[in-house]
Amino acid sequence: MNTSTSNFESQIDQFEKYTLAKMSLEERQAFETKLLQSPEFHSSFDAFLISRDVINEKIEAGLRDTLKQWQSESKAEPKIVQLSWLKYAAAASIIAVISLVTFQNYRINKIVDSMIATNLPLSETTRGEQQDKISKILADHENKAQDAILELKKIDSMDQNYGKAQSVLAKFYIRQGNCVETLKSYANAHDYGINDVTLGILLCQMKCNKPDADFQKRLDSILADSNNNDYQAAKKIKEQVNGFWWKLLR
Amino acid sequence: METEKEKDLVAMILEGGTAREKALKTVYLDSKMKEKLIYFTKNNHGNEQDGEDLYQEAIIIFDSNIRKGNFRLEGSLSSYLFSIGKFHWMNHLRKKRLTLVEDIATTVVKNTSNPQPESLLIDAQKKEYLHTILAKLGKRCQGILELWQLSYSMEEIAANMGFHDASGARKAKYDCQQQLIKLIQSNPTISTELK
Repeated sequence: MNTSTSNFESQIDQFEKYTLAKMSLEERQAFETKLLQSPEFHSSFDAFLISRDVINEKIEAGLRDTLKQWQSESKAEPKIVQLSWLKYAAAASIIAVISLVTFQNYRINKIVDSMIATNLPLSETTRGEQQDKISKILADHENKAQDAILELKKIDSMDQNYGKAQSVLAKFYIRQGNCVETLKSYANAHDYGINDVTLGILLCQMKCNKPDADFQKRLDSILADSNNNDYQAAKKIKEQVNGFWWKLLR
Repeated sequence: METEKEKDLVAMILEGGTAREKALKTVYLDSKMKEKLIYFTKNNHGNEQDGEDLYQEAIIIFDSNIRKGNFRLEGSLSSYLFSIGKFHWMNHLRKKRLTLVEDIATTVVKNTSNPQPESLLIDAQKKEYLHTILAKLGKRCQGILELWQLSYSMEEIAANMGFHDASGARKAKYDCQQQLIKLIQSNPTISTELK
């Protein structure tokens, strides 16, 4: 370290000690005497004080920026709360709507399934000699729908039980939600002398959510005759399809 | 704000570094203090933003006074900040040839120990001189001297500015001070104006 650097550092230390009031009485008196006697020392001290003001200006500018940042942060906070409140409200509304729609859809499906179970019993067609073959298949494969379907499908169109077999097959398919096969089987059953397939077709279309242009005509054809066996069921269907949730969801 | 807490805040500002920043943030976010100045400006030809700006200026002066040793907490901090803000606003209105609508003289604490806030306002011309010199000093030196003036230790300055150790930071601090003082002495007009 050279002498001039060392002198400068010592002088700066003195200035700092003086401005921070860390000098003893003797040191302070000696310092103040030097200030009065040495214009060069006085000038250096003035420059030192200005240098503090210069840096203070930088500190103030930095603090001004920080305060502005705090201001914008404190102003942004309520907006965040509001946004988050809106987000939660929107999410809650969406969840509520989805839940309600899901529940109503589930409710409609349950009603349709219940109507299928009540109005299209599998065992209905198994009466008398002609039904015995079908009845036997159903009995042999109770609770084994797929096996029963395979056996029923084996019944040839030349077989006198073919129409009934197709009708029972349609009832199996409708329970499985297989609309295409249900309608095919009902069409075959109808071709082979089974006339009461209209309700099955209606329920199939409801279950698969595919009512066609003739849905209302079929329904009306049952409702036109209060003596029709399926009249009460048709009335229930009419109530359902005229309901708000059916119209909205289907 | 309680007096003890206010004393702690002043001590934290004197401590410098992150303690100072924390204390200033506490003061700045004190909504009651801020509201008083906003209310004052709104009643005296100003608006809410003017009040916000005024509060910021009051905090800057408050911080500077503490660091320069020109402040002793005798009244309440709130009153002191309010009186700084008030005088600052009076200066602003004077320039616009307007006068205070509300006489709030009774609310200003007469503090004999602290310098009157009016005398603490550095005029724009002086600020411009300070900026002229600052601009001539390198950014690194500005940073080192800023940390030093904010009472950071040499170890902290070394860590912040990427020096190996405190001794390296100390040497750099002296070099920067020497540079700055030479810059001031080489501008006699500016240094005369700033005396």
